[in-house]
Amino acid sequence: MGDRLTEIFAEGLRVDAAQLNEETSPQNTPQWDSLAAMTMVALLEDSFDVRLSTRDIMKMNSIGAARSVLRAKGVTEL
Amino acid sequence: MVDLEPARAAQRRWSAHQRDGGAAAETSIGVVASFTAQPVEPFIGAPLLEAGVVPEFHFAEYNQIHQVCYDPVGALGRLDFLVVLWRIEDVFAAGLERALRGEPGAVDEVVIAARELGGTVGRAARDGDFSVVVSTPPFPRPLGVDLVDSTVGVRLARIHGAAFEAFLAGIGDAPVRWADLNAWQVAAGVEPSHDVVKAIVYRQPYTTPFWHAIGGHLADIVLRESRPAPKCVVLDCDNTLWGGVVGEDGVGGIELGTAFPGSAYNEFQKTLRALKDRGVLLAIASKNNPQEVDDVFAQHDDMVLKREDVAVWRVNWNPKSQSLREIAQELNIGIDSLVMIDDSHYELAEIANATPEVRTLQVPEEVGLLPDVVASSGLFRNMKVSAEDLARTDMIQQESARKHAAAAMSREEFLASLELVLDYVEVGTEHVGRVAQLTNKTNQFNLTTIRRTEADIRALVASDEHLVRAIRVADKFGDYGLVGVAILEAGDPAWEIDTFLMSCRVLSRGIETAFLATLTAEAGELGARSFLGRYVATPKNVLVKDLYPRHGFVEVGPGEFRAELADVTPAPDYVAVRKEAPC
Repeated sequence: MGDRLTEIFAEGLRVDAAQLNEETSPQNTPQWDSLAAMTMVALLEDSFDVRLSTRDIMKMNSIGAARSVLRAKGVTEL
Repeated sequence: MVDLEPARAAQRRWSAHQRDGGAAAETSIGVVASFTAQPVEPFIGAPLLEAGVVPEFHFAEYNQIHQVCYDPVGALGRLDFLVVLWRIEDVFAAGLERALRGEPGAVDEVVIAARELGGTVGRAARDGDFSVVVSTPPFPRPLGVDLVDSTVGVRLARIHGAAFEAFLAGIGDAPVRWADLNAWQVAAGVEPSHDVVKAIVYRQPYTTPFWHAIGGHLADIVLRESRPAPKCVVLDCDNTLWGGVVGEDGVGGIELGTAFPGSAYNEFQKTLRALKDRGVLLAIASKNNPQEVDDVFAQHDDMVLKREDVAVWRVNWNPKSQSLREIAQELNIGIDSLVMIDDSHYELAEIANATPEVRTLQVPEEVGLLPDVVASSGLFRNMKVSAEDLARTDMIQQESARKHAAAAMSREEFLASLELVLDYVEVGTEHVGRVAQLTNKTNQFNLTTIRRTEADIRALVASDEHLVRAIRVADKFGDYGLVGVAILEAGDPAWEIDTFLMSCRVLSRGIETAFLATLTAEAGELGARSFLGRYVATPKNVLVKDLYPRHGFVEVGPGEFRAELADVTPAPDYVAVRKEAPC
């Protein structure tokens, strides 16, 4: 059982949460294609009730980076 | 604040189904849209799973509607449904922009193109062995435009109305099912439906709640195919068709008329008459003295429904479930095709218990909500749009059609407009890898399905007895690469076509005809007088069962076809064939 953010990535990327970690990125995860990236943005926005700017989106090139972006937006329950 | 939880629940359900592998898909749904439409997948998928239907989805690239409609199966594979979603601001972006600037003639250009688009979609619906579900164009919401600026609003409304009508006219009487995206957007509101950031980043225009709504409606349309809309509405009388109890209040004392509360019953009856006009039968199952109900129908001036509107009468004191069984029997329809509308909790409970197949609608406590009972049930959504509705729009359109003489392009004209080029290639060492790969992975357009290794191909290329040829195909949309292979074995008198295969990316454009003609012509120059072709059936290649008969060959045995050189169908004019020497 991963944390909430990891669970959401697992859903969006359609992989098992156990296979994911902070370094998971489009480079090491074939499921993380441009379509999955689009799906992830909507899932993160809807799940954490935030609006991601295009600049935020461009920064989110790993799960760890996504966590930093969301923290910077004041999301604490990750 | 919109509650996102229902949408998130649907996404989780679909994601879990996908991760688990789930049950094997039984319904294949292709989606082509003028925008990125993949977010809709969980919202169609989850309610279908809920209803016991396991779907799989095939999405085309965005804005490929013409290409996909000319060859849906080639583009998306075998389909049960093809969903076509489109917006004026995507497909006719340039025309819309000019119309918004008020340029003369811009609206007319969009009208012609919209009619042609309708023709293209309509043809796919007529030709395909799948159901086509096509959207109405939603009111445009171009990026950076102020919708409540009246100058903009008037121009948008004009172009929307004109394109909408032209598209309907282009579809004509083709057997499509309508996904009324425009109505869904009206119900949700233009601004709450749109996410302008995602529109510009991903060409994905909608918010999650609106995708959820779209998916739910599309799932409903898919389910309509196997679960038709109700055929008959069965009505109670007292406190349903009118207010009060006729047995006590008398014909003059019941509530029915132009003043509230009688007006609520009057409006409700109008919705029932509208259903009847759409072909839904009306029946009455009511516990009254028959004479009193007769008197209301015969004598009350404000009755909208007349005796002749009612197909079957059961005015008696029997249990309503018994009356419903009799009505279904008399109309020769399933009891699950009935909808009962009644005010009595008791009667509805009796029906639910004895005839649970009958759907029931309860007259609301708030009489002001009565006129909305049928509409808000959603039970009659997504029925086929009648021919008359379409005919009327067609009449409106005839004027402008005459002016522009803008019929949809014929298939030949469309194919000619593609600027197809076929490079006929003598297979050399540089092609061996790709040719072997095609023999191993091509399943559908493959006459003999003989698999070969690279070594096999090299041996055939080296053989004096064989011609190994391939084709590269390009059109104005792009280069498809090396997509077809043929192997011909010299014989006396007939040369045998050992292998003839093509990638499905280039189907239905006359490519196969040009390839076969070029191949046999080359063999003819080498002395071949006749040809033998074989069709070896597999679970996947029924597509090419009739390939040889369609190209001048005659069946001479089971799966064996023969043609003289002169009988082979020539290459179509619209394919430019170029012969390429080996490097």
